[in-house]
Amino acid sequence: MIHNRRLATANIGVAIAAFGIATFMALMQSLSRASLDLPWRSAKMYYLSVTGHGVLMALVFTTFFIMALGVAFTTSALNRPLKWPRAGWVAFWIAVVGTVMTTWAILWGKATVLYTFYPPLQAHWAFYVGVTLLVVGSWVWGAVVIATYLGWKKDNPGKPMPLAVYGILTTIIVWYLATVAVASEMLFLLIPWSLGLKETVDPLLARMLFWFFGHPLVYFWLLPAYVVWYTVLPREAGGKLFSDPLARMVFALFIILSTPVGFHHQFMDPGIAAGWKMAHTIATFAILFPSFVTAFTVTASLEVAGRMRGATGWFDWIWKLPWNNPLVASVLLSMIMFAVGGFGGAINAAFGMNAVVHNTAWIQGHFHLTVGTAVALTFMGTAYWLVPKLVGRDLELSLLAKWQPYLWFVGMLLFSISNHITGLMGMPRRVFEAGYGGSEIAAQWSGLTLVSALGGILLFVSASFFLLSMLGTVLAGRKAEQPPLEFAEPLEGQPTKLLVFDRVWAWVVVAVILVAIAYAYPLADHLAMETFGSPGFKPF
Amino acid sequence: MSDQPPEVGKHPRGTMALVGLYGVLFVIGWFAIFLLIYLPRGAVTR
Repeated sequence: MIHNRRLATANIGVAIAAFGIATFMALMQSLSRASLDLPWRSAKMYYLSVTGHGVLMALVFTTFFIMALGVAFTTSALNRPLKWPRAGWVAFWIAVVGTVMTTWAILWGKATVLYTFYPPLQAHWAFYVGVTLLVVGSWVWGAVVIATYLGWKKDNPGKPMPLAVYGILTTIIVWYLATVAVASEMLFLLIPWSLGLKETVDPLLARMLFWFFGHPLVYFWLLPAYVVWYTVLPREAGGKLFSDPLARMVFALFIILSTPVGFHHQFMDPGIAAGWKMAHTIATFAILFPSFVTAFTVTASLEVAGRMRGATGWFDWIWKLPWNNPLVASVLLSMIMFAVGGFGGAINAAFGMNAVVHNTAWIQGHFHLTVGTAVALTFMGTAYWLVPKLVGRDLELSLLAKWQPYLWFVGMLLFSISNHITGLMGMPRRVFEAGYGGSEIAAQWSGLTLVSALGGILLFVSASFFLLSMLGTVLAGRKAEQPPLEFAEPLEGQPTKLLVFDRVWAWVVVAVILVAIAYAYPLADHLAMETFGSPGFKPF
Repeated sequence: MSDQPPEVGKHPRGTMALVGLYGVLFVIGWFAIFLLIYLPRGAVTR
């Protein structure tokens, strides 16, 4: 059973509220990029909106949703309440205070720095302190989950932890490793600089620290989605998990490979030796492997589900799956989109080819397939399944919930594919006026920006369906006993012996060593160079 | 596993076909971008 339901519900509530606000901003942005004459359209409003959308979606929605998932999955899988429930609430409120500070700074036009907050763009100190508090809250949450697991381990010596808990622990470990860098960036560079205690900041050092954090941030989002794919989807589809050890291998690989990859976001940056960029490129391609294994294992689990429903041919199991179940449909469509996104990611991460797509609309097309669909649509599907269990009410507006994933899929296809194409044509990302004052080159992509805007409208309608269903469930859903939160059985039965992949702390040591190899020398090299700081710029 | 259909215990041939097909498309797509877009545009420093 789920313990600490109120805490999980509070976390998921903040996540969905942040998603709702960010959704409105997204609609405005996609229409604005098509140069449509909207009321209040201005560069200031556009960049404020891009910042708000990025921070609320990528940092707030994801973090709170993952904290909710961590509480619900850990307490259910271990069948025990959180060891430190009060600390769980402290974590929640620290993160809420941080979110309010950050959101205030953005909406009042004092933090138009986008979600990457690259200096020398400078925000109000409340923005940086707020983001820091959000991270601190998540650290406390992670400690609470780890303490709960250690309590269980003490009572169950020699027993492998449930796979769902392994996945959540992996998420926390990757997050702890990654956030060391962004905390350093905040504490030593950005907060003192925004408070006027330092006149200048080193932009390249800040970018190195940001991307130390920024790429494993992707796995902080993705790993909980994988937990759902491995431990919830097979059961909901009517089958079993194809292989528990393969799933554990994937999580172990993510612990060691998630972090030493950040320079593939900085191929165009000066001051980092080409050899180190190449090393991070190799590590980035290595981390494709656990995602390929995930594609195999989860698809094989679906094939098992289809065959348990009577399929006998090569592919007829696909049509036997319950495509009208909102969670199943959400995850299946997420996986299809993620397959396309994975291909695009291999272009971004290629040392030379990155130049073709760097800072173009291709990038926004790419990450809306990965975080914007593989993660976000999986989380929405999970919410249809989890929220009724948390609040003890039936899912309301279930017809909207059934259609919503398909609408998202079509909307994202239009949005993302058009952005990939315009990116290859040279259209920059993060530019308010994509028409470039009527230039000939910009005229070539104007039709595709309209396709992108149409995709944005469909995505907005889809997100509205999701929000209406969630609001309806919480406020007006019929109170009823809900089925318990149960996880998929492995095909070969639950593991009884510890595997090498279960030695989590050994993998943490390997990860720390790899991170030290990947970053210690380049950072020391940079700090030894003569660098020139920059004052802050506030364009709006 | 006696309560399961016999098809369940076999190799996941449909999955292997799909994953194999994806792998082929992945490699073809990557090289298509490399050969048809990246190389014709030339080096970025030119």
